Amino acid sequence: MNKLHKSLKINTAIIKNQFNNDDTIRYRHFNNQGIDYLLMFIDGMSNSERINEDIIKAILENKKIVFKFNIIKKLEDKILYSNDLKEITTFEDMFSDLLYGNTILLIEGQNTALSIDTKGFMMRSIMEPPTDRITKGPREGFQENILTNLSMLRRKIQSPNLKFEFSSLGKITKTKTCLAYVDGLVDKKVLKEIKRRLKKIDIDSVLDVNYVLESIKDDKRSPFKTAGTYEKPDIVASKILEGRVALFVDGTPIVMTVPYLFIENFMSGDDYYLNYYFASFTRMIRIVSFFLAICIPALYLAIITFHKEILPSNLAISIIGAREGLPCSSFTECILMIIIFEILGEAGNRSGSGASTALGIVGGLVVGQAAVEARLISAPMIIVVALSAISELMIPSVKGSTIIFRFIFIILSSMFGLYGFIIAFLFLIVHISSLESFGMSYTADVAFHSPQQFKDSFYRAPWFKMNTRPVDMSEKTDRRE
Amino acid sequence: MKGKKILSIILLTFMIPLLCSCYDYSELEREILIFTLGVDKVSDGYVVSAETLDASDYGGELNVKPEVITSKGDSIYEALSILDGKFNNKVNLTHCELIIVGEKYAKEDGIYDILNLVYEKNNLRFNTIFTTTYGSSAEEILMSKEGHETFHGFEILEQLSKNKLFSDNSRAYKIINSIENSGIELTLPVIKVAKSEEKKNFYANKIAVFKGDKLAGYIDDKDVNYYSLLMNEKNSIQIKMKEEDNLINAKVSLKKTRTSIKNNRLNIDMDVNAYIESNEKKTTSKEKLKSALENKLETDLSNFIEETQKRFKLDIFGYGYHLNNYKEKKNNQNWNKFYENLNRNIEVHVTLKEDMEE
Amino acid sequence: MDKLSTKEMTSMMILYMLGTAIMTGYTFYTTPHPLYIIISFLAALIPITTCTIIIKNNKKNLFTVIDDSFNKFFSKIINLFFVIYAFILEIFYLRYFIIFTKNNILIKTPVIITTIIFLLLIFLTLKRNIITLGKLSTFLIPINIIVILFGILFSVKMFDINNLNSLLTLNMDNIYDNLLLSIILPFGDIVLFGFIINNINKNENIKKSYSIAFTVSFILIMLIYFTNIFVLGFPLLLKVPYPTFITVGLSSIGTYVTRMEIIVAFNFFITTLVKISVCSYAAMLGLKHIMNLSNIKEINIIYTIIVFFTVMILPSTINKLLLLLFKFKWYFLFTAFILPILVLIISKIKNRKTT
Repeated sequence: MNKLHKSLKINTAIIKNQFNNDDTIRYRHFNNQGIDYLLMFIDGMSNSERINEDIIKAILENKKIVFKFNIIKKLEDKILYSNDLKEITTFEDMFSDLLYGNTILLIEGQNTALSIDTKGFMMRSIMEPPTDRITKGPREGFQENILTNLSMLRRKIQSPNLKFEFSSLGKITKTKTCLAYVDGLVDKKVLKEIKRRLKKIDIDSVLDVNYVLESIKDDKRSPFKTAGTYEKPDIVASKILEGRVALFVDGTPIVMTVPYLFIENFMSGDDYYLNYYFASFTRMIRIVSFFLAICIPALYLAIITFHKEILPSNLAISIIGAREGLPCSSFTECILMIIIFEILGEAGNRSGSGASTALGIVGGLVVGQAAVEARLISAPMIIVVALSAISELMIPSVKGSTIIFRFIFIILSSMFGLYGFIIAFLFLIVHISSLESFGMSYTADVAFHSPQQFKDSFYRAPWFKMNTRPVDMSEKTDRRE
Repeated sequence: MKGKKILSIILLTFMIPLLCSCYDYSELEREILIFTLGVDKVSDGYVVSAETLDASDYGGELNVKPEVITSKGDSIYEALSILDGKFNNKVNLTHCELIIVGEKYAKEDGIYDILNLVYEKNNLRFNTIFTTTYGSSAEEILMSKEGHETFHGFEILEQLSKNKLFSDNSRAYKIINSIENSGIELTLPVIKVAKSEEKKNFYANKIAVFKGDKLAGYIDDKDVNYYSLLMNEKNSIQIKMKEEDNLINAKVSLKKTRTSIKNNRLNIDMDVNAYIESNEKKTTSKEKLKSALENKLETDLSNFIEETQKRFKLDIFGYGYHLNNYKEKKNNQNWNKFYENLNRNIEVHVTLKEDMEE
Repeated sequence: MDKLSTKEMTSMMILYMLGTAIMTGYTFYTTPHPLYIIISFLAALIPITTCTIIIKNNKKNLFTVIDDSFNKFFSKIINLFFVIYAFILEIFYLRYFIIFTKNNILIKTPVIITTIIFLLLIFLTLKRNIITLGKLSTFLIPINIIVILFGILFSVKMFDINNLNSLLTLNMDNIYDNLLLSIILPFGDIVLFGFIINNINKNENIKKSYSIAFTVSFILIMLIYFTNIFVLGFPLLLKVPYPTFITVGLSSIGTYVTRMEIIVAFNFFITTLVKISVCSYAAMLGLKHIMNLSNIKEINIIYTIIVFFTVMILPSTINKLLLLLFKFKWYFLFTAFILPILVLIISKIKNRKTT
């Protein structure tokens, strides 16, 4: 918290000592009317044209104004061409502004410096995020620069009640973060709670929103996430309008919203831009596929090893025919197949887009056809595991929990049959019911409180029926269209 | 903290049995699934024959075909446990849909012992079908010829389902009620086999009558039609008659029956729909046809019921069970005696129809 | 968030009352006459109304009300009565469930393992009060009702109305014994809900909650009862210990979906879980009050271990289990019916004295 000295030499010495081996920092000395100036900026982060035109040229070509008293004031009010200017008195503020792309102007004899906004670093252009493709609707996606993201959000909600509160996280990276909410809609308790939790974060670096997410989670060991992550401004805007709080982190296009409910895992932006019958149908399919992906291999395994009486006689005969002479037991087959399918899926993700289709075909051919013909694995098991793997692709937001629970289900089913399956299922439901997200229960929208609350959970009601905000989330519960 | 540690150690020691679990785990192809069971009594014991699946791998090519396994013992349970022992305790009776009880066994020992198998855990189902034999043993029915490919049990089931004599009354859960309730006696379908050079043919058009749980006799072939008409109201039967040198084929179905017992008389009042299928000479009038049908039905039914009264002395229709207000109903022996001496009064009202509704 | 709502309370009550009746369809302690079922339902209204009257004004726990009404010594004894009542019910229902599992689902697995796993699940459910159980019930109740109706729907084709004949000529001996048993046992344990009702939100209506629960469970149980009678018929219904299991096992959809009885086992699992959790929670609350502890967590594990050891000692056939249970009939009558009325009277007298 060292304050600036009046002497330019001393200030320069301190700064050059701090940035000893850093050659990207440029120092420009110049003199005007007998006063020494020092201009500092980082090459590559500042816009050179603006520095030349708006600062150096403005000062050097100044002939009218005399700098005897109130140099800083006169520079601010009459000389410098800039839309964002502020005075700084400490080295810490100077360094943080300098490192973000601002230009610092030090003046001989003054213990105040000027920080001028001349940001000009290269950014990715706005494009559709690859993880959240939709068929109809806006295709903008967030970017790595926090200010651009905030501007995109501001364009969606042009209301004076939309508030942004900046702070910074990370001891070394000092990443800028911003909390966005609509004043009057948001639940004050949630806002207070998230601010309290953010203050408690004590890590060196915050490079992505996931670092923050895992530090402020309610139940740290649960595989389900209790805060949502989105990449599109229209979705974040709709969440904020329901009373949630959004957290932007500089350097990542992903934005976090709290509180987050279980049913939001199955929602997608598409639902609101398409016909409500189709949207309701796809949403129900997503919920069904979550349970399919977890339950089907376990159920199949339990039935063919413990409860053979459930099978109809013809099906039993065909499964016996398929399994005769195979080397492994059903349990080993199942685990092997799941691991192979996961490897194929990950390989498809990591390789370029051209190879993923080839991998899918190769995987299907090699594993499926050849393994069955070589009498290594039975055909029904491949069908079951493939169905489970395809269902998992429908809901990428719960991928981690699907994998974990699928293994738990398989292990319990192979040890205790359908008794184990029921135990695992109830354990899953108990776990989901006991989760909380910033004071709200995780299963708030799933409970059957009233038809109005139910209108946006398992299916999407048409817009003319959605008359109230979801209960419990915001302070106001009156009509909204 | 110490308390928690001690408790967690205790809990872990209790978890150890979990690691050596999977007591009930068994692969599907390593078990013997039985689809049909046959039970016989021979001179020196009991023989159990079962039809199962043989899915062996003949050098890479899979062949699924039926196989019959047998075992012999001093009682049914011993024979079954010997069967378990032959195949390493992996015999699975839960897929068994049909049980064929040999004639001698049903006559001398009764089917109660086999019925008790349904109560045991993981054993026979409650909707297993029981049948008996006539003139052959269960083993002969199930025994396979060289190179036959179809399951005998499934063929028999198909024959049974096509036959109108078969109803749910021959399933285990109904049999238990029939045996133990007073006022009704058990009847089961009978399977006959005709061997030929190429394949076996199964016939299921005979009915066996039981007294309690023991076989008492068989219903005559000519009366089997009327049995199906009285027992199952949804059936329709074919009747041939000769009226004034005119051969008539009629299809008859029951619309409504009212039975009552008053003053030692059994009164049956039936409404019947009839459809004349073929009429050689179209000379006879409708009224004559109608009255001829009514007379024939009345006499035939009366003779049939008389036979159950006099020859079997058993009430197979359940008049004692369905009709109330009789002290004799409570005690089975008295009811059957009472039934033996009932007079009959049967009235049939026929309505001729243009088209027969099924 | 820390309080239950009416819907959660209602669904918990419905699942609690369905309990073992889902498997038997009637009061298997007595002869299956419909009169006894109606008497059981009507008799169960007594304890629940007394409990709600006691708690209505101040929404305190029943244990604290007892503490206020009586002096120290008597209040501890009365609390102990309720705790032992909950404990006995819990071990009985747990043993019944374990016998069912051993006989029908997992035959060779030792009973110890199934008990341990089930108790673990209950422990996890009760970790954070009774709120998790409420949310679980709201999620599971539609599944439960759909499964029951599904099972009944597909058994309709096997109905035989003549089976009702024998119902009217049933043996009606031992009327006193049967009456007593049907009053106390199947639904009389609803009194334990008196210890949970205080968890409900201030604005919610308890009367509505239990009136809906009573009607819904009555309708469902009568449906199950009549389905069993129509399908199975009379000597068979008295011989088998799990009639619904067999009825749904006989039904089928076409020829391919047969033996659907496993869904009845799933249903039974859910209702038993709710029942045992509620009994366990009530007993643990009582112990916490008697020993003046601050939190349930201190007594959670020890209580579960005591339950586990007691359950292992109980007999392993249903007949012997019932014989053991019936020795407590007068104790149950006293605790479930007479004690709440006593507490109500004395608390009203005390209230009048203070105001």
